[in-house]
Amino acid sequence: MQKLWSILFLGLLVFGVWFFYYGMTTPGMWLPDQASTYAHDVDYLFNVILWITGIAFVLTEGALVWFLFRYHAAEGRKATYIHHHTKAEVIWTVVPAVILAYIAYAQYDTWNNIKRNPMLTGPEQKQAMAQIVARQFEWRFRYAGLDGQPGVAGVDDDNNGTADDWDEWGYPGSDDVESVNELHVPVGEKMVFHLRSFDVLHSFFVPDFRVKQDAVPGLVIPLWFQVLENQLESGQAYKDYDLLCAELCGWGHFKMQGKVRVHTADGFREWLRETEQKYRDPG
Amino acid sequence: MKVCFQKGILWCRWIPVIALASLVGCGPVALPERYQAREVPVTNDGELAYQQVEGMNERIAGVMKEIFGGPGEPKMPADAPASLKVSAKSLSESASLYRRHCVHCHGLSGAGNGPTAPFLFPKPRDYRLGLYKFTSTTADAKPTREDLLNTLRIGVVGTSMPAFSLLDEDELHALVDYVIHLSVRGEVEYVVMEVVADEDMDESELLEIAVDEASSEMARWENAGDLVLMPETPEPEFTEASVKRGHELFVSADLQCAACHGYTGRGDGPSAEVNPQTGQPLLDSWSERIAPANLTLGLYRGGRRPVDLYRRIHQGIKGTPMPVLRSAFKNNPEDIWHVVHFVQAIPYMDLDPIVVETTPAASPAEGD
Repeated sequence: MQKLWSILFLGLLVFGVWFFYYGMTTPGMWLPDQASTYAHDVDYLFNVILWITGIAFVLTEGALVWFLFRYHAAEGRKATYIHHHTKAEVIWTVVPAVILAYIAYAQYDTWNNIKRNPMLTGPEQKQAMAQIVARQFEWRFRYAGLDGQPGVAGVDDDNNGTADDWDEWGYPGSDDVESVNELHVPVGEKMVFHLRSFDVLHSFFVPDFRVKQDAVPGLVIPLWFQVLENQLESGQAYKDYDLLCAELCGWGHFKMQGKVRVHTADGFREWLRETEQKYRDPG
Repeated sequence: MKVCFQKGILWCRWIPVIALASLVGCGPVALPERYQAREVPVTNDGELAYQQVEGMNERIAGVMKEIFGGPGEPKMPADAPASLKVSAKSLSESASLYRRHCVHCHGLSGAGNGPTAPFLFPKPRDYRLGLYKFTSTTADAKPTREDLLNTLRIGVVGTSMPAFSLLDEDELHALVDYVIHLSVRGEVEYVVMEVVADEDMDESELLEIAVDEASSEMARWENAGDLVLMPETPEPEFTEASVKRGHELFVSADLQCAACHGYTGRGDGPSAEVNPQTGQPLLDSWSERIAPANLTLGLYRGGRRPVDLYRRIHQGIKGTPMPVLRSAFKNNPEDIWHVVHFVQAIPYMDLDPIVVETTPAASPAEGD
């Protein structure tokens, strides 16, 4: 009976390690495909952190089990009270500090590439392919259309010298197209999207692309990704991926799903043309 | 210390009991035998439209159950045309799909009174009136199946109705089947209620009336496809001149769009809240307060295609104060397209209310 707690915690240690081992070695249980250019970098960081926390878990759990086993309550034994131990304090401060500094250093390039890419903001920014509007409980996408310009190319009605004002999205007479819950993209192209929210916090999450970005009401947040060319086998017209909302946004959060359809470059233009045609079609 | 520790242990052993108890609520929910009875409508004076007669609800429920079944085993009337039930799923399976995706807003009987409904504005649609706002058909026709499918596919932007485009085609058809079922059922129920309240009849006569009413409603659903409104003239090019012409028409005394939608399209015209003729607030057919659309938002609930806007203007919006405007365009049907172009342009224009007020047509609301 005295050993109960040490056995219980040993069980937790064994179960925790086995559970991760089982997940990692069983097909379909671990991470989804690495379908975007930066998916590999994100997974690398994920694995680094998993190993660090995994080792820390095994060491601390092992120590816990050992102490529970070795020093459990016994007749006539008195607990000792240790007050101050400089060496121990230095170790448990410096070691985590070094680990955290390493993580901060290791993630820097990846973070910069994904979140602070010159494509997103500043003078070199790339024209957004589409605007993504999250709404309880659906995704709406508005594309700049075949001319690659939102609204009517060259329209500048606030005379600030730029023709890419957000107000011109969907300007009547333009070839902008809209789609609900289906994001269509071409394979192999670097694409920028502008993410907005209609009502509350949402999060745009495509697990296979390792894209996750909160949508915040009142903000236009740019994001980018590039789907790897090898995702489409030769002759394959398109492939679908899951799109999810990763921020609890209300009672219907569970059904705020969509799909991302990756086309060949030609297939994507064909889809734009067809959707534009449907918009004009009286019927 | 020791006492506290033991107390903690004592408390801990309740955890599995609580965990088990919380699972009890997760079993299948028993469905009621019949749909919830329809409440007696209240007239504009706040009176009940019919006297509640003793045993009235039971009699109505009996007749309705005979023809339409209950939520667990719904059925269409025996003479239902095949075009009203297209999905390969049985109506019971469709009802189950409806309970998964729709019931928390639209309610078990399609009354728009699900548990989420009190928190929503605008309110979820009550199907029992058989009225649908955004259709491709003429003002007094039912929607086509395609109209309802379209609403499911793209949702209604600006309301709480989301898109269900990830359901497969047969599931969408199944939901439409069931919505038509609830709609026909609701309309028949209303007629039966009127009869029960007014006249003394035995059950077989009542059943006969209900069956006849169901047949005529179903015929209207079946014929909706013949009443689709196609544009009278092809859409002209979107030009500045077209937008200008649309603007003139928008504020003209003939059309009076601005009276409700406002001179700048913000939905703040002089008649936006209260009808000046009757002094009554603007209500829709479901007796809910209704506001004219704010056209500066660029959100079009009935769809953003030019032809959608054309149909809203040409045939109005069913169940709302938005009127059928076809007659105002008798001599020049192409003008409808100019108004469409102006409406499309409103979100992108800086409309100056002062400039508009100086145009001669803008008479009714000068002081506003």
